[in-house]
Amino acid sequence: MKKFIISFLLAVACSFVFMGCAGKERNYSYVEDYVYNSIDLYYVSNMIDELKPLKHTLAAKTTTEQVEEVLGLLFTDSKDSGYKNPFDDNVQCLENSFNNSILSLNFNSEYLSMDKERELLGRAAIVLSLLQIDGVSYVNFNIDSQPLTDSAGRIIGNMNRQSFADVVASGESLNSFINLTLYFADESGNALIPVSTTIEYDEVESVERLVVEALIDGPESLGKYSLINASEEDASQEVYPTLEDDIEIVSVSTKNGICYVDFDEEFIKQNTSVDNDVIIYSLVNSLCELNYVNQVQISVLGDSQIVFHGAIELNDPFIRNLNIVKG
Amino acid sequence: MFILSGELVIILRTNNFTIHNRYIKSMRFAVLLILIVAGIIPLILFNLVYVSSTKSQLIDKRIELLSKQCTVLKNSIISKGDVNNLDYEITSLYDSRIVVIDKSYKVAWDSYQIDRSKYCISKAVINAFNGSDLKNYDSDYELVEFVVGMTASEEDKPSAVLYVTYSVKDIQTSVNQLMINGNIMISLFSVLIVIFAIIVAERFVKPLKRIEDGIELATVGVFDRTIKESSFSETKNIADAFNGLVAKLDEYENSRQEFVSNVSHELKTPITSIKVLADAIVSREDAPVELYKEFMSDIVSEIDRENDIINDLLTLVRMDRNATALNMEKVSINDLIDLILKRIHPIAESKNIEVVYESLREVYADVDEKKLTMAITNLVENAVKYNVDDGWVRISLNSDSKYFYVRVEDSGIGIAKEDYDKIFERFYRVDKARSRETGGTGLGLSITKNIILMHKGNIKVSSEEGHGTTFAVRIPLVYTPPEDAERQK
Repeated sequence: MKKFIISFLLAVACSFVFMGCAGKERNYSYVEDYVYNSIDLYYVSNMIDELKPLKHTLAAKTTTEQVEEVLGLLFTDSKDSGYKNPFDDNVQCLENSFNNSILSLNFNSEYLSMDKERELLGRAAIVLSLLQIDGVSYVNFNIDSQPLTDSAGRIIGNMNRQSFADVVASGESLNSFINLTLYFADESGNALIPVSTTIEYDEVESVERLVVEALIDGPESLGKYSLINASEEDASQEVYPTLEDDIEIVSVSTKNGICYVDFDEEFIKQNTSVDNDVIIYSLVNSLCELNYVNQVQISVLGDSQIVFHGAIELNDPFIRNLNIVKG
Repeated sequence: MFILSGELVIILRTNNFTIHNRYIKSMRFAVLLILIVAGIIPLILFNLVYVSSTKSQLIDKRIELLSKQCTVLKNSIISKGDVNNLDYEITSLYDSRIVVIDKSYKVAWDSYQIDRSKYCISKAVINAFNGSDLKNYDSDYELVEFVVGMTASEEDKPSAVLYVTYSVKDIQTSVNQLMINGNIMISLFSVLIVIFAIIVAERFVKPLKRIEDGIELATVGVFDRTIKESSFSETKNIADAFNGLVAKLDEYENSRQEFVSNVSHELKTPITSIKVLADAIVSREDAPVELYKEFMSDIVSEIDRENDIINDLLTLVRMDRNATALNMEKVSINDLIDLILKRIHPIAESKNIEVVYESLREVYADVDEKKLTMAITNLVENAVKYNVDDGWVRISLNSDSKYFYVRVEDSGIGIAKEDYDKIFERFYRVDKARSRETGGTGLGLSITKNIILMHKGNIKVSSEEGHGTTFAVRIPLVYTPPEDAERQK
């Protein structure tokens, strides 16, 4: 009887645990090398309002042959009625040429007769498909050997992954990769070491918030990163987190070059062996790496009238401090 | 050592298992479980439903609010005309992001500063340029997003699209807090409910335990204790029914004891006589043979008497046990009674009693001939035995569509009113001395009544002391065995 009650209560209690979780988990993933020759071929939806990826395994081995293979698939009529080719049938790719890792495509003048949406999506589909081939870093389009221009007459030029974006958060068709410079602590805890890393970013929150979260999650969560400006013997040293991982961010926003970061009380409660200076400036320096942030104002639950660990006042915004950076 | 403890473990294991099994099947457990489930599940469901509906309402209200803000923003962009110098006034009150896409699908402005000058291939943006705005709540990211086309006043199609997102994580935080508070309340209530359930289960089950104890007492033969149980009308009814049963058991036990003592007494009486006679003749010196013969014949009649008593007892007991062993045949009752009267003639003559037989019609009925003969014989014998010299006995036979009726009247000594029921009891004799003379066993009427009841009939007596007695018997013409009767019901 007693046992039954206890186990029942436990079961009830357990079910409460699951009610607390909400929201999507972020995962940092570094850019993966394409080990297998499996790529996503992009086509255009029948409604001409989005891209449709299809998995494909490349048969060819060399870059040039793979380019031919992809272009062939994207321009031949497929029997599948679920999607359309990137471009209309009357638009043809006359030739393609390589210069270093820049691929140039030349189209016929029928290109100009395409609808705006079709042109946009088709161009994105072709470029994004081709960029997945090893050895292709940029693609540019030409019409009758003339560089493609936009509606204002400016040359569009070389396009890579960063040339396109899906801004809509719920859309999720393209994630961005963003390069960040983050400052972590060295082994002694009294100097900062900058590292460079690339994070896959779903654009739901601001880059400033992404930076602060990366600092809280620590270097182990980053995957690949490389030390910046490290000398030979320093290149293999370890970096350590400066902010404890149970700190919650209340808000991060930037106005007029000042980035306002509001933490919960865990920020004060944290008890690391890292110097107070190092904690504060890991945050400030990392944020100031963004070109639109010059200063950082820190608060805890909205309050800046705090002296952090009795040593550093938070009521004025900080500018970056390079003295504390190693090397 | 190892094996020993292994055995012990197994034995203990089985014990525990049985106990657990019994508990799970118990009413206590069922009531407990039902109360707990009926109490806690609705609470949990209510909490879930309430919190989720609260969240929907909050989100809807927030969307309304943000929609207005979005419109304000859109209009200010349109009126400013120049999108490139936008210094957005809406601060990150709700962690918002503002993106403006121009008509060549290039991102003209991005408050996140990352997608500037990129080509936007978002489906919602393409649709907005074609006139379909979007208002969406994304529950994965906890944000509200608007994709609205911005159309200048002179034009009919959007020349730019505004994409705005606002975080609604604060709503989720409040909702989580609501949920947690709700769960805390549920936990508290659960504790109360469990306690309550235990108490209630106990209260419901206790009466049954009392009844069980009471029954157990009766099982070991204690019939004088009643169960006092009045918590619920149902259990009270059970207790009352049980008490009635126990009273009946008590009655049966008493009557059994009485019967046994009666039987012993009756059986002893002839034996005592025999002993007396035997002692008497043995102790006599020089007794003549004639005296021996006389005493021996007295002893013989006492033995005969004993035999009669034992036979009657056996008949009675056999009838009790084999109530269904009736040999029903269609019999002429007239003939049956004729035969009885023929047999009774000598005894009647010896007392000079006039026997009149009135048979109003031919009666054929389903009866067990042997037994019915025994029964009516007994009545007629009694009528003669307990009669005065020169008296009369009248037997009449009649019938209607359902029953046949036999009346046995006599001019005998009569029976007092208070003895009407008792005469049918075993071994009961109104006047002990008298029946010893007439040689009865005291079981006759009891057997007779039994036989008549077996035929589904009934027997009544009426009498006037000093004047006479009438026995009236009524028996159905057609016998329906008990099982059929049950089915017919």
